[in-house]
Amino acid sequence: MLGKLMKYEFRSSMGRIGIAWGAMLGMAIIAGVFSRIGLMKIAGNGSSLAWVLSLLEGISMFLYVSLVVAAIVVTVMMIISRFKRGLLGDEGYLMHTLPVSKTELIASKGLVAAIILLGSMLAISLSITLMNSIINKAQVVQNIKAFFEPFAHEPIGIIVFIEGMILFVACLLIVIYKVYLAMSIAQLSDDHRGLIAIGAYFGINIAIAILGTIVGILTVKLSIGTWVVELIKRNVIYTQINLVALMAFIVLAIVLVILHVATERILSNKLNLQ
Amino acid sequence: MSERALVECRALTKRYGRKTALDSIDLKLESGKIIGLLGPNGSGKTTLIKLLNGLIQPTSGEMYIDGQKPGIYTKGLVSYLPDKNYFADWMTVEDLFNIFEDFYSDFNRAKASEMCRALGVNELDKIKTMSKGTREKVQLILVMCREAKLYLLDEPIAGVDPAARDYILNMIISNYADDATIVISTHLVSDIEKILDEVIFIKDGHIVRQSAVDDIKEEEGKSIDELFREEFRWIAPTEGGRADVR
Repeated sequence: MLGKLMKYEFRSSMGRIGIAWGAMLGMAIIAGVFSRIGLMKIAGNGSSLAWVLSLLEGISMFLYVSLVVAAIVVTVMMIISRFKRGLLGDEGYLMHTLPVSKTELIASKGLVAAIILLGSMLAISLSITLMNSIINKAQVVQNIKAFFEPFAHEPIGIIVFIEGMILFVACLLIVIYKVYLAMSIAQLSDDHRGLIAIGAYFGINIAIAILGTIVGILTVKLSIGTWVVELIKRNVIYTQINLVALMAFIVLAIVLVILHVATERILSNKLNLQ
Repeated sequence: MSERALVECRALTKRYGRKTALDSIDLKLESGKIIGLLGPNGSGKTTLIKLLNGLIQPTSGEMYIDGQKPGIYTKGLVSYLPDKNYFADWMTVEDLFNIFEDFYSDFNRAKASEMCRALGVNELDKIKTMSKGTREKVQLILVMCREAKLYLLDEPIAGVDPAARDYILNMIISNYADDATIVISTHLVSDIEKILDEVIFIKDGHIVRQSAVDDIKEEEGKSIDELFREEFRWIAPTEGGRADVR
């Protein structure tokens, strides 16, 4: 059922964000073309053609930056509104009466939100690359080569890169789930839900920071560091990078599970559809 | 040995802050009946239906549908028509049929398409372009094209014109299985009383009466509408006082 829920969640989300990505990529090409023309200096300094080209370059660049900001805003707003409307608003009358678990409902929203967030980041990166390719193709090719070169010399770099990506996605999910939990707490009240959600979001961050400090103190007290060093010595964990990634992943997974369970419990036991 | 009730509520209470919406109600609903859940606005009808759907949680007490507490299993048995429009803007009627077909094994797609044709609803139309009345028809088609055990219909005729009411009531009674139960919450008693087998009067969060329609007619010699008006007679506000139902 999770797959089916995600399918409909994608359909709900992709319309607006697809337009935002398309507009941003299109404007990146236009801004790149005008910048390229500007660099070619086809008009003499001070001529009216040079002035017009310079104006078009400025306007297209301004519009591109505006569309990047718009894509970011649309992404954030959509993550919030898809959860709010879908599970806490009128659409909730359909979603909460489907024969699926609350875990599936929340996970479908969270996973699709994370994919869209990643998609927006990729679309922004692609638009920058696209624009720079038009302005200076050789430089972009050189940059891409420089990025992949370490992987050729040190194949373990690919594993480190993948580990980094997994941790990055886990971090994105945590940010999304903190927003979900804050909104779930706010729906317990009949009024001022927006303000309560903002307060709850800060409260959750403070709680996680306190939890992190406690875990840090316990790690030292319980000599977990010594135990881990022993694992490295016995070749159970191969590199220090893997060790750091593993530890970070465990911590992030625990935080994610706590946030998910808290949201799930609130929606299971204290759902307050008005 | 008595048969297990399809719905059973025991000392069911729901409070919103200081306001008590349902006050320790005990209720049993049998299979194979059309039941009118009747009461004035704010009497607790919608609260009871939301509780049975698991959309809100009771403050205390218990409730069972087919012997189970509201959850994934009971959601597969219940077909619910809320008093709200739950459609997302991007949806077409076809999308909604796909969703229902994906999630409810008892959804009859062919019947839904047939009802759309009969009601002049285009399956490819976007919900956001439809009138309020057409949206309500679509919602009712979705609900009645499930072969559910329990239909919970919250104000199904409140938003439609009187001419369409008979059609909708006919649609309800001709589209459910013999062993299924339909609970219709409304305050438009005269429009639905001819299809009811049983009535539940609810007032200020209390069940004040649960009787078979035939018994009422036989014992009281009154129509349900007359009895309802008598039971929930409006006391006009006096000077300095406030309006109330008796």
